[in-house]
Amino acid sequence: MNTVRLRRGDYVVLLIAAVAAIGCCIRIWWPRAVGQTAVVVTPHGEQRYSLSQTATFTVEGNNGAMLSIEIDGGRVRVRDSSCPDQVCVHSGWLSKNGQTAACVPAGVSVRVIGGSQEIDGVTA
Amino acid sequence: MLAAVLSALTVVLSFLEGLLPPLPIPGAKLGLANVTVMYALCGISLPCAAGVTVVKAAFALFRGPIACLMSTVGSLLSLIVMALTHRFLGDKLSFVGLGVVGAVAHNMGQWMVSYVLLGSAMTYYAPLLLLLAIPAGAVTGLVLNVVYPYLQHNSLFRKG
Repeated sequence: MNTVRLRRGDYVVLLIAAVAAIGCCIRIWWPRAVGQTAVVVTPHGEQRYSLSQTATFTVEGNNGAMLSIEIDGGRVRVRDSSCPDQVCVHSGWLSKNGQTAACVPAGVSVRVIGGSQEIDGVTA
Repeated sequence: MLAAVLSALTVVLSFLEGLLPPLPIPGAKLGLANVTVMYALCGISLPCAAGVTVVKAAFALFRGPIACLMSTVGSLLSLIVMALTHRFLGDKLSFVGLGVVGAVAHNMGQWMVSYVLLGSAMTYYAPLLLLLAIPAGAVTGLVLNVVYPYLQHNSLFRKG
């Protein structure tokens, strides 16, 4: 069969990319503890909610986008959103320190913080 | 003429990719349309690849202004990095290596836009985007590795 063969450089690129990706994962995601607080950032400001409650509320993003956020059983999720992509909704339930759901069109993000091991130093 | 055909092909590939079942990871895409960009870059010329990229980004407008902005920044960064890689390391790589380089650059461009819009919460998406870029870039590169010789045999797709 007539195909372009893999070259040595391909393997070098794959190796470098894999090492960089894994290094990045370890740096940013590890270690992860169960979080206690949900931080909801909207264009109008930042709000913190304890994950120990059971609550559903609505926040407003850019261009009148509305996001329904649900907290239950130590977890938080974006239950529904009026945005087109629904990336935030598909992120599902978040419970661990550092887990994030973001709705870029609305300018809203939900992040879990406050486990026993704070990793905020990474983002600072 | 050729740039127009490739641009049309790019839009079709983007559309067909949208018909595939969505990946279980939020925001993840295979990036099949990059096949035509890489072909334009390596088989024809940088201006042709730039034209294809602009058309691709313009069609992202159908997915909304934010998606268009992310696509534009990601695609342009990807094109710049791939063009430099092709220029200086072209003889050492097949399309698999080039595809991975392009996919990583594309995802990092998108990530930068989301970081500017949303702030540090997006830090946590970066490793995922970087990880996903590797198989996505390798698959698109493999497709072009197989298809490239056949395209070069077809007078419609040959340079000049």
